[in-house]
Amino acid sequence: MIHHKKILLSLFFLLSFSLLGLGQFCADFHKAGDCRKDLIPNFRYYNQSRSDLIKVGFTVKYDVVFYGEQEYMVSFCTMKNFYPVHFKLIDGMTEEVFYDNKEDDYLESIGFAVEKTRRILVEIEILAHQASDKEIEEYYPCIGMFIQFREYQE
Amino acid sequence: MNLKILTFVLVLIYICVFSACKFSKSGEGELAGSPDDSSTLETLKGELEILNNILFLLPSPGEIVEGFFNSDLEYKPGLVNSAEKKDSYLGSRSQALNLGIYVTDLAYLAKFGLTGESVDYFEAVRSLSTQVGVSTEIFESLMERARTNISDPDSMVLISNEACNEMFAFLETSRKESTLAIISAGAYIESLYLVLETREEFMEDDPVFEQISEMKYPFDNLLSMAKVYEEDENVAGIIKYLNLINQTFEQLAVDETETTVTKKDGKLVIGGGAEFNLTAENFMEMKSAIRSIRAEITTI
Repeated sequence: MIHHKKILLSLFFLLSFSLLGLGQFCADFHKAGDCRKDLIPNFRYYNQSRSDLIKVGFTVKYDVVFYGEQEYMVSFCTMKNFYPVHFKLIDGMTEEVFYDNKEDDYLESIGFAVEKTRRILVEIEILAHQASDKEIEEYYPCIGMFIQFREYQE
Repeated sequence: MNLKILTFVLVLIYICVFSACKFSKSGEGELAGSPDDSSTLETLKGELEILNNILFLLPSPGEIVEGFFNSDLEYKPGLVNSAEKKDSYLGSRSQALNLGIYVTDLAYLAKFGLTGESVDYFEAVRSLSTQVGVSTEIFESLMERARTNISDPDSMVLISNEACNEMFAFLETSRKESTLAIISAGAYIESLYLVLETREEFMEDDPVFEQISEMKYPFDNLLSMAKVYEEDENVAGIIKYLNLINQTFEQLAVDETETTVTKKDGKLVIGGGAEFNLTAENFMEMKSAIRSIRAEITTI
C-alpha cells in the first residue's frame, strides 16, 4: 500500500513538473484573457504581443520595435484580483518616459502613433488591489500584452 | 490497492493535469481570471528571475518580408536557398541557421503566390525543425492545410506565418531560447539578403532603402537577445555574423530630431527621434557583407 502511494505521488509530481516546468502556463494568455475585449476591426495582430508569468513586486520589461507611420493599440491584461496593471512606455534609447498609465487611473490600454521607427521599452507591473495578502504571497498570475496595428491615419 | 484502481487514479491525474494546463492557456472557463489558475510552484520563481531582465522582442520573419515586399519590390527568381539542400546541413548551429533561412524563404515565396514551391519549403522547415528539437506535431495539421490551400496565396501566407509562430512559441516555452536566437539570426540575414539582392543600384528616393536602414532596430534587439545567450557556443558562433552586420548599420548617418509626445484627437503621437540614412556606399557595403555571410551559412 505504502509502495503504491509512493509510486502515485512520484508520478503525480513527475507529470506536474514536466508540464508546468515548460512555462506554458501563460502562453497565449494575451490572445484569450481580458485583452481580447480590445479587439479592433481594421487593426492587425502584431507578433510582438506576448504573455508571461508575473508576481506582485516584480517588473516585466519588453523591448519592442514599433514602426514609423503606424498606429498601435497596446492592451494589458492579467487575472481577476491582480488588477490594476501599471505600465509605462519608455524611449528605448534615452529612457525618457513617454507615457505612464498612473496618470490615467491605470487605464488598461493605450493607442498611439509613431512617426519614425523606434524601440520602446514597455515596463509592466501588477498592483493587485483586490488580492489578499495570501494571494499576493502565493500566486503567480499571467500578464498579457496584446498589440494591434494599422497604418497611421491622421 | 489493485491494478484497476491504480490505473483509474493515474488516468484521473492525467486528466486533471492536462485540463489544468489547457485551462490556463486559454484563460477560459468559469474560473477564468481567478487566482486558482495561477501557479503556486516554487519552480516558477526561476521564470520571474528571467523576467527581471529586459526581454528583447522581434518582428517575425513573415512581418519583415511583408513590410519589405509590400512596397514596389518585385519577385526575383533564383534568390532563395534550394530546398533540396535541407538534409545536407549538419550540426545544430548550421541546421538552426538554415532553418531561419528557409522560414524567410517560405514567407517570401508565399507572399508572391508561389504556392507549389512554398510546400517544398514548408517541408524543409518541418524537416530542419525536427533536427533542432521542435516537435513535429505542430506541423502536421499545418502541412495538411498547406496542401489543401496550395492554390490560395493568402492562405499560404497565413499558414507560413502560423508555422513560424508555433515554432518560435514552442522553442520559447521549452526554454530553447538560444536555438530561437540562432534561427532568428538566419531569418534576419535572409530577409536582408532577399531585399538587398532585389535592388541592383542605390536610388536616393526609393522608400525601400529607408526600410533597409530601419532594420537597424530589430537587428539591435536581435544582437541584444543573442548576447543574453552567448555562453552557448552555437550562439557565440553567430554573434560574429551579427557584429559584422551591426558594423554596417553603425556606419549609417543619423538625423536626430527632438522627440515630441502630443495628443491629437485623444490619440498619443510620438514624433521625432532618430532616422538612419543609407548611402550608395553603405548599400554596397551591406550587400557585400550579407552576401558573404549568407554564402558561408548556406554553402554545404
